[in-house]
Amino acid sequence: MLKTKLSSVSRFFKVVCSSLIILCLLSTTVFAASDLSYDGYNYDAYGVSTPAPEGYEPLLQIRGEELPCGSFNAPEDIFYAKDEKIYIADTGNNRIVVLNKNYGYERQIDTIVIDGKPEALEKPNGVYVANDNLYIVQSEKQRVLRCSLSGEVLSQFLRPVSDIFNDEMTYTPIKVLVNNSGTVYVLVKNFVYGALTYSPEGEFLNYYGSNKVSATLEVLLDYFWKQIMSKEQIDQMKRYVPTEYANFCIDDDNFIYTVTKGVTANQVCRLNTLGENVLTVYERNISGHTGKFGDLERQKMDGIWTTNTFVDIAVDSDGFINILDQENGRIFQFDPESRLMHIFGGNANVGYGFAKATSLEVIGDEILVVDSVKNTLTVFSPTEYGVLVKNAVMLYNDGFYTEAATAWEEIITRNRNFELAYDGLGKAAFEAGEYQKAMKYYKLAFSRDGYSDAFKEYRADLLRVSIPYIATALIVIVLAIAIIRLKFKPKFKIMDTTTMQVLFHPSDTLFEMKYHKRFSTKVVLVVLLFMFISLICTRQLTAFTFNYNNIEEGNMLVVLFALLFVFVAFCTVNWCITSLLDGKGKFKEIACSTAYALIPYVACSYLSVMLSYFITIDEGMFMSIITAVGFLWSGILLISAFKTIHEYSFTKSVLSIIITVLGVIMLIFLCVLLVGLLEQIVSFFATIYNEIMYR
Amino acid sequence: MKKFNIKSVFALVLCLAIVLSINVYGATEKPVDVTSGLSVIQKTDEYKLMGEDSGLKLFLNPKTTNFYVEDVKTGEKTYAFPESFPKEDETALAQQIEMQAALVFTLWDPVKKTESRKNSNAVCVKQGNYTVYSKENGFLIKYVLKSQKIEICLSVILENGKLYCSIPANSIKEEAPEATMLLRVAVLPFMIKGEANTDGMIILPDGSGEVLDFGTTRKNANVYFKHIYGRDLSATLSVEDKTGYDINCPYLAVINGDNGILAIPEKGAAVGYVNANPAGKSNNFANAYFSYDYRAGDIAIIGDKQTMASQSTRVFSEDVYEGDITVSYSFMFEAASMPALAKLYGEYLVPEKSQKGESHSAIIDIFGFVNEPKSFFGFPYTAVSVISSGEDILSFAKNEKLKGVTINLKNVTKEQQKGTLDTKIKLISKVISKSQLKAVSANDVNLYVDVDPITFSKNTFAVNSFFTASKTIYGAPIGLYDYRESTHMVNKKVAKKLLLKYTKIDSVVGKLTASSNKLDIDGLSSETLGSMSYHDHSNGGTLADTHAAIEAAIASASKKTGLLLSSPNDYAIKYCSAITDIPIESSNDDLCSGSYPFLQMALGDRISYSTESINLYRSPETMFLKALATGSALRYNFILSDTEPIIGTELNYLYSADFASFKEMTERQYSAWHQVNAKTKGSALVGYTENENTIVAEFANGTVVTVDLGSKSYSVAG
Repeated sequence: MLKTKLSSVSRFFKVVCSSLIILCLLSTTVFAASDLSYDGYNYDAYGVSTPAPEGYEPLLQIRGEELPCGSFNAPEDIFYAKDEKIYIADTGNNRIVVLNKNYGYERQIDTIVIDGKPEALEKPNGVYVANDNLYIVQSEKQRVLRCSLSGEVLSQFLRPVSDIFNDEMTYTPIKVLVNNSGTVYVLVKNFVYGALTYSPEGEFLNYYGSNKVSATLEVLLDYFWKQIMSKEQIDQMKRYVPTEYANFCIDDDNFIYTVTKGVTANQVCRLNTLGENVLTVYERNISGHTGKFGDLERQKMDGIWTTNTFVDIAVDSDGFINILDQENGRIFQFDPESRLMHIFGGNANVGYGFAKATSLEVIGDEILVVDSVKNTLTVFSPTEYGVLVKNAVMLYNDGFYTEAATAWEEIITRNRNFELAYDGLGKAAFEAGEYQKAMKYYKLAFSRDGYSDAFKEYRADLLRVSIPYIATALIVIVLAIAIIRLKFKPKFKIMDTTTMQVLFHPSDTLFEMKYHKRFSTKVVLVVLLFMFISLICTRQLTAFTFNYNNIEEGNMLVVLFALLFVFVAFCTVNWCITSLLDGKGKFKEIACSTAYALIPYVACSYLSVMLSYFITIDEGMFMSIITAVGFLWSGILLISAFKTIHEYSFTKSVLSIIITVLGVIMLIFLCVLLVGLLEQIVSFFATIYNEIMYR
Repeated sequence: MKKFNIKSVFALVLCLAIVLSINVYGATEKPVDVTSGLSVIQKTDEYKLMGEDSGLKLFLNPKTTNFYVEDVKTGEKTYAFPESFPKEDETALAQQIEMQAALVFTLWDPVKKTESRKNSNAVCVKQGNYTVYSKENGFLIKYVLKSQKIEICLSVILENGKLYCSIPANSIKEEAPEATMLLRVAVLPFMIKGEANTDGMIILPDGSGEVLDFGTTRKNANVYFKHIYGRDLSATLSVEDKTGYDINCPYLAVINGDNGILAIPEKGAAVGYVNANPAGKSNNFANAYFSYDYRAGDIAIIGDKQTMASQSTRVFSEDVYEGDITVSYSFMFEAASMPALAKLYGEYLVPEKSQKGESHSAIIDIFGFVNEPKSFFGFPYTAVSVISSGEDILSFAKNEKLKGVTINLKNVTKEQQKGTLDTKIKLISKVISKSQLKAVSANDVNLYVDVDPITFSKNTFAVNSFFTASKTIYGAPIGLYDYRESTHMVNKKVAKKLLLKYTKIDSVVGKLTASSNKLDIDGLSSETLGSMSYHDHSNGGTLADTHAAIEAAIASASKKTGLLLSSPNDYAIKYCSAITDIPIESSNDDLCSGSYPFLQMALGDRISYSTESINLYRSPETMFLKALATGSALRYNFILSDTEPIIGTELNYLYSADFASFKEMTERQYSAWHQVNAKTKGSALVGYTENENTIVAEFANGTVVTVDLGSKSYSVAG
């Protein structure tokens, strides 16, 4: 008895240990990272933030009290003019402070002269200098002034008289800029039709470049409803209007860069003279991240999603775009192709951290940021790493891939996580004809286009060399198969007769099986197993060119659960519905038929995965064709199967499948609702318990 | 033979238990009254001599309770707080009264749930609710907060040339904590001070040292308030606490003309804070002082943290701090300077120069493996990828140009691989075997192996509650979290690390030490052992208990093996062979006007110390030059073979640790360091001036090192 007990105990432990091992293998395990306090970061191909060296470091922090002018007070804007002077709109002190390019104090403008009469300058919110003219925005006074550099007002830009700018709209200018021909652009608060343009004398000209409304699902649905609703009903619905720009700047080529807060698309635009957005958008690994200019990660803090609030933009002479995120006090720098270069800065009580960064400017390689709460001007200069990256990117963008390679190699030594560097090295290797090396680099860069191009060349080289051997091997294999079949007549089959017949003669075969009650659940299990494996293969083993999944993450338990759930739900719902629709099929018959119907889809999945290793992106349609064939074949089989086992007409069979699919969706929705409800209930009771314990 | 009678044994045991408990109960010590045996002093309004020692005299005015220390030789006096205020001083009266208080209290009303601030001058001295006692070479004042029913004593004595200001253990009495609780007490807030219109500065113990000028223009800056030894790690934080450098070595130093004071929180630092205010904020003085938590507290969130419906409430520990609180003040009355004060601090940190007499030139971390996430046919698993093998390490150790470096092997043990709490050092043989270790050690290197006896991911010896109230709510072990770089919020994908119960620290460290003695290494290193600070409420362990346990473990270990600790707390330094990751700058708080290498001056020639990692710094050459200018050893983190496996792993912060790329730079810098060290001969840093991009550093033997951060060059004279 003791022996029995011991053996059963040891069996138990074996089972437990095996289960634990399997569970461990199936769960993702990531160990804690180090807690070194380096603040720079960037994003990897999957949108996960990773440590990165800082591209810019704080050089100095200027406080007004350290200058002859005294403390700043809520400064809101900064501008670097062609006369190499820095103009700071020191709003709370009602003045414009002028510094030289070495950040030494020059003078301040606190008085303006209008029609010969001096007047105290009040709350300048924005400042711009062009053509020896000083442009001052006074939001509270609802005007923009064009003055001489000594403060004499030459013209004013006031509320336009226009049909579009109706009486209900308040005119509160917030920012101003001037293009090369002297046209003045003014951003107005809550005005969603872009910027107002004026002649230098103050005559209103036109509107310029409004944001477009993003075509989200909600917007499209509303558009659809509006086609069939009455006018009164449409008036009751909400209107989608574009978002106003938060700020803008202009480059030497007269392109205006705008930044918008509170949107997820078109956060940054580069507008030509017609107001059209011509900014190159960098395509990221995950399509949902393409076109995003801020953080790709978000988390909830006190019920509110963390977000970016872009308040300013500045572009340097090389076209590098810098945008200021006031929410987190960070500066995001992008190259002219909208690739993310660096993220630096941050809100903090210590160091050079910000409390409320309000404005951004670029002087040469340095970046200046004004903080309206700390009343400081912080100057950032590029680090050694930042200089390297900029040089390499400029060579890369100009097409000098080989010349950039040395720089990229240096950059890699300083930042193993920088994917653009691998892309650069990939291009250099491609140029040098080292296709295999290029493929390796492109893979690290998650550049599927590059990888595909390199693979194409590599494949061509490989085929050129190996085609005689491949041809010979194929002939030998075919001959061997023929000889074996002729001589030995092997009895093995790829698939058994029944399965083959179901695939090609579904109605007759299933009728026979139904009549002779030959449905077997083993078929279901085998098909589900192969389908599970095919799902894994599709996710994990599809070639890099076509695989956007992170193969190191993923829980196969979830896949298995989902597969089983959907299959069982489909069969159950179908059984329920066909019961109501006078279907004759039993549950077992439904399950087996569905399983048989899945076979072509599963087989085509395997084929598709295998093919992915031999084709390029341009040839990807072959995979799509195979998948489509499999899907179609399975669809036809399913319709035939249900027609046979339920004794339905073709139409009724199709209808039952559609209703079944809808039923499954409804079931999933109900399950999600139930889970959410249970979470709420648990949370409710936990809250009460916490309250009692603490109070 | 008589049968064994279980009933009689049971009865005997029961009797013994009763007898013992009576004895224990009877032998329980009654709390000692700190004033017993002391004579009361009359409250006359004149200064009385209370003590004399080593050329210093201590005078007390019993009526105002102000006191001063007088230098016998020069006649200079340093008052505990301002005697009076000029008529034109615009400081509010209430503020003036507080400035003349020896103690400031933070109180909590548990009924109204409000916090209030009282001071010993307003509620005790002015009300007559205090008693002054005479002590040998000093005095003791018992303050009574009548309305709040709280008593607290302050002892001041002169001893060994220093002034010791203490709140003795168990001298704080709360008779009605249900009505008013004492949360925190600040000690002598205006001993370390300087008037706005005078020349002088205070050095705060932030990073290498942070300068607070008396005449700072940053009047509106945030006050400085930071926990000594860093935040309590057993608290649960949902957002990363970004407050610059931790205070590992607490001190306060002030230079006012020719006078200087060095204040050291010798006891109670574990529950202490450093506070500092700029002049002009609420009064005309810049000041700095220590405050102490008598009762630890935290903010607890009630409700769903994910929604706006959450509310917060204050919760407090049932345990109060029962130990001594002591601050020592050292005075200089002539030719006072920061280097001189730093030297005094160094003598406190390292009473005897480094035990091993080791001098470290470069301390290099070499990472052996990384746990790389992989997948097998869709099943994810983690595999050990070797990034520096035994052969690589041996080859590194044989590099003639890096002769004499200190190699610290990280990620070479099974404990690190699994994150478990092992008490023996088991090397991962696919990285490095014992024989390879022996071969490495045979070369001219100092060899250490990194262990982490404090944090782990899978074990049962974890700290598992914060406050008693939270035990039933949280239940699960509380530990360290990883934070996302982007949002600074907890990264839930990464398993939290658990913290070891403080009662286990000694035995774990002891076993690791014993195990290390079986290997051919010079000692153990740890990134965590010397710098951690946490409560262990489940065991009734306070912060002080944890620190005491860590210190005992380190002291014991240091007798048997070498110790290399990263940014260690002050109590650990004297036991180390060398220390690493000493900051070369400060957190640059808003109220401060720059950094100062006070800590480097203190450590001087007493123990080897290194900078933070040069190759991981944003400007490696700048870090190297600052190492030369501060007399620091060099510091590097390397991976010796391919660094590609670290992408996407827990080591992804080592983005620039490829030794092959930094080999030339390391050899050059190492050679340059030796050239400079040949002149400085490891003597202490005694002078440091920074002007724009140029730093001029003077060493005790007269050598002057000048570095130009702009042109990235240096020169040595003398």
